[in-house]
Amino acid sequence: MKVLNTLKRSLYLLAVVAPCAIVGPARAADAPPVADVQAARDKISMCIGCHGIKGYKASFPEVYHVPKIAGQNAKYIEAALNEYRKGSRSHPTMDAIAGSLSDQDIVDLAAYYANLK
Amino acid sequence: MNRQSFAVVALSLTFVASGAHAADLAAGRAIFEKLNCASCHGADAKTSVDPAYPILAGQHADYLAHALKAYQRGAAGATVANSRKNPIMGAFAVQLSSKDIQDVSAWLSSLPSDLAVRQ
Repeated sequence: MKVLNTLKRSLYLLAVVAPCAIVGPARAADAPPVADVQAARDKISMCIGCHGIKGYKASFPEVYHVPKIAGQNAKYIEAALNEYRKGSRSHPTMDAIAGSLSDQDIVDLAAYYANLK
Repeated sequence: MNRQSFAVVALSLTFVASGAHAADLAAGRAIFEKLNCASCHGADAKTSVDPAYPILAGQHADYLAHALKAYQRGAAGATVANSRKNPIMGAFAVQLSSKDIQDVSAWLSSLPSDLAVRQ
């Protein structure tokens, strides 16, 4: 009887703990990535060749200065990069660059440039 | 024609000639007000109501013009390089002529903000 009680208790415990083990990691994966400005320093090499050069221009189909992104809203930078990834914005260079970025890269870069004042 | 009046005429012609190419800031401001851009981008064009909307003040005028044209291309439906599909901005952009785009872009670019080219 004592053995049966111990077994019962173990099963209860398992019933309580097991869902936590399953749901816990799932929730962590769904959580939006947290911006890391320091990590962005290793990721800006793709950006500075255009956005870091004063007077730099793109040329298709209009000729224009590439946008100033230092000081821009982080959420907007994220939105723009995600639109290039999804295809609702198209721009040959930005499509390729945004497509190479992870969700974490995007929030890191957005935070980096938003705070670059 | 004496020398003085010649100078006045010459000066007037200079202003007319330069005016033909320069963007009209007052007209640009009028477009910003008419389309109520402030309702999303803020009255100062930099305090947007949602941080997912961009700061426009102090941005390069030619980039702003390019963006508006990209929204026009996106609204036209064709999948062409360098277009933006956005129901809100597309609906506003299609109301603008080339001159309107030049004017409103120049007006926004003239406004102060912290936007900058930095690495």
